[in-house]
Amino acid sequence: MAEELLLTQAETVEEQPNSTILEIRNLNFSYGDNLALKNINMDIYRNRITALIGPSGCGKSTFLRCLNRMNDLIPGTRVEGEVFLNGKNIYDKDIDPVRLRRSVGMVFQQPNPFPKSIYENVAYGPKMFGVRNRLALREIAEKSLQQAALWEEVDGRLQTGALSLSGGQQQRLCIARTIAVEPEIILMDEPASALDPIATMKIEELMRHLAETYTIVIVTHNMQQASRVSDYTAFFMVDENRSGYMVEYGKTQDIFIQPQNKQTEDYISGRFG
Amino acid sequence: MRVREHFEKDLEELVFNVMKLASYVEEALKSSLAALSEQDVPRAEKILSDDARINKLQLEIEDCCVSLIAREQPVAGDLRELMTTIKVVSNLERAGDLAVHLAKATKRLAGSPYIGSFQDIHKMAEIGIEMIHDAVEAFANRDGAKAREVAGRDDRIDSIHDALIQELLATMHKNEEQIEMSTSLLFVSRILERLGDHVVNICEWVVYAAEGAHVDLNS
Repeated sequence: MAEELLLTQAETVEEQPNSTILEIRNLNFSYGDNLALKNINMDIYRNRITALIGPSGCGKSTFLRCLNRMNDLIPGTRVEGEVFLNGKNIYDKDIDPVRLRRSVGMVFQQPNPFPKSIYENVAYGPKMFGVRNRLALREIAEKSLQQAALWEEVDGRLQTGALSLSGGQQQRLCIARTIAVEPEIILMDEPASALDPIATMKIEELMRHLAETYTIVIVTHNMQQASRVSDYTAFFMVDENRSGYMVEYGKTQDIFIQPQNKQTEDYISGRFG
Repeated sequence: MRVREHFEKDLEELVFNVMKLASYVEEALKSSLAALSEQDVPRAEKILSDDARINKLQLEIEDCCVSLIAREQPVAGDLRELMTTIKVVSNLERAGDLAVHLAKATKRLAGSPYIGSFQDIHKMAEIGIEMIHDAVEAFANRDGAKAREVAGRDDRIDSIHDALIQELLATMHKNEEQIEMSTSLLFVSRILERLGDHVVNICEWVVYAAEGAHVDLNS
């Protein structure tokens, strides 16, 4: 059953040749004196779902936040190396982090809608980037909510408070809010870990649909989720100096059926970590 | 404490049951060959009735694999081992069916004197039964190299089978009275040739479990 599922995903991956959207080269990241990420090199492919897995403290969430410079907001941190988005290094001085985060959006572990209406949550980003026309905003909101598979549940009550939605609905609202500004990449940090199994399945199904339009990078502790939903998987580990490094990266079906590294096999089969 | 102690115990028990199934099949084949060579019809009848325990154990092992896949979400080597287990027991069950065919042949041939080729039949069966034993040992040890070596022995069965065909055809040309017996022996030889093929299938899956690659060991 699991093999069948993985093969189906593999066939999907084979349909189109890969096109690289993000190239990470020799990336090091430090919190003060502590090297949290060590020499990460990987390519992330357009319209694919890439899962980052590994034990707690291996730096996978730190790595995710390096991809849209969210770590800039933490004092005392330092980045070395390069992250090329469509060939341009996002750490170049002429890059505006706010504009970067429009292209590389983020969804967090806990749904975090603004304490405003459903509509305001989705329209906030486009407004911030200059869309003033009410009709245009309304269209963006409707389209984003449809893409996030939430429209049918909220149509007719867009002025209702976002906090009245269930946890799963709030998370899909956050996804709608992210895609309302038309990003290229969506970063997801444990997006379903606070949700019940049905809401989790809805998010996973939604991710498969979103990958037709966007590139998704997801951090997950749930290895079955990584095997179900992703096309590529990267396994991170932490060394004796508490520095995170990437052990293995490849097609999800290869990682989960025939990993090349013993540490990967031990981790994904639940024998350590 | 091992992190997945229960799961690993279940996997060990599964391997034990596959070995038990293989021993049932080896026993059935040895017994069917003895019944055939001695034209022992009561023994052949027992093989027919004992086949049910092979089928029952095969289903129990398959059910256990399905349950472990559903409950434990195995990946990598564990997943390959469970897929391989399902394939191995299916081939073992079919090897058990060959013992049933030999038992039925015993009942058909009872009372007719054998012609000279029975030594070759014995030799083929001996090689095939030993191959089952060693292939399942390779499965238990996830030993791809051993599986390849065992599969290679099928060439010997095939060459005896080919020579036997020629010999029996020549007998039929020379003596029309031997056509019925020769045809039955051809059928028996064909059954034993199939036995070798089932073991080669098992070996191919053992290589998959051990190395993650599909190989063709038939050529």
